[in-house]
Amino acid sequence: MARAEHLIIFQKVYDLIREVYKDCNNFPKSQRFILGQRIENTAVNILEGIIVANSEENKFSSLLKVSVEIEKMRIFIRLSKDLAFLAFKRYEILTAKLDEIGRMCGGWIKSL
Amino acid sequence: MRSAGCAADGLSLYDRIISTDNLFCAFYEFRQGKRHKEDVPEFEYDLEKNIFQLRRELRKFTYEPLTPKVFKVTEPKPRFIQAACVRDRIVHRALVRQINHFFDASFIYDSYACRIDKGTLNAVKRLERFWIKESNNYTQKIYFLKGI
Repeated sequence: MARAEHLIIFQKVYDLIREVYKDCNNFPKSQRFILGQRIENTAVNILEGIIVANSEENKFSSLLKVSVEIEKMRIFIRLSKDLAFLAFKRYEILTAKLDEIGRMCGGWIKSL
Repeated sequence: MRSAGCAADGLSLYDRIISTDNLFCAFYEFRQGKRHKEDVPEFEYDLEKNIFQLRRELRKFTYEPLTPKVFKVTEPKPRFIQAACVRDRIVHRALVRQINHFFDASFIYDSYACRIDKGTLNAVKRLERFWIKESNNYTQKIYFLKGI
């Protein structure tokens, strides 16, 4: 059964996805379905990984996958900021959220 | 990206120094000309993680500079160099970004360290001018005093 603290990370990821979807809609049309889609997919992968880890006996491998996805996501978001698809303010907000998720995920892995 | 904040935003100076905005800008300023050097790529790979970590430390007042790397160079003359790590140099930049304009006007003209439109090259040029002038076009013996 999922423990309460692991539901918080679930919520955070859930909120992040909502933010990310909003921003991806503002991407230039040419990139909306390339980098934009990629970012959305990665975000959903993170959420999926958390759900799997919450219900699985062997959480370790799925959590490792999650942390890789978080890493990917960070680079994608940085890239879209550097390509001016994403305003600096939004970049700040998204990466702050992502950083928190990353730390929670790291803590979870350590606690296993 | 915004430039150094204005006083009207209601934040204390310290808040402005440790704002993510300022820290990110500080990093990009710091990075100029040394993107591929030593530990810069390493820091940049985990850029957001590192910046937020740094900000947490600064906010909780637990930040402490790491021991600088000490090495000796023999060119142009033997001396010890203390190189601070990326993280500490970003803090330095972040600080300079916010407090420079308070102090810059009160420095003497011939202070060349870490000031806009100054720097080593300009210092050398200026020295050369004085040198020529004081030595009557290199014909007289003159002495330099070196301060640290």
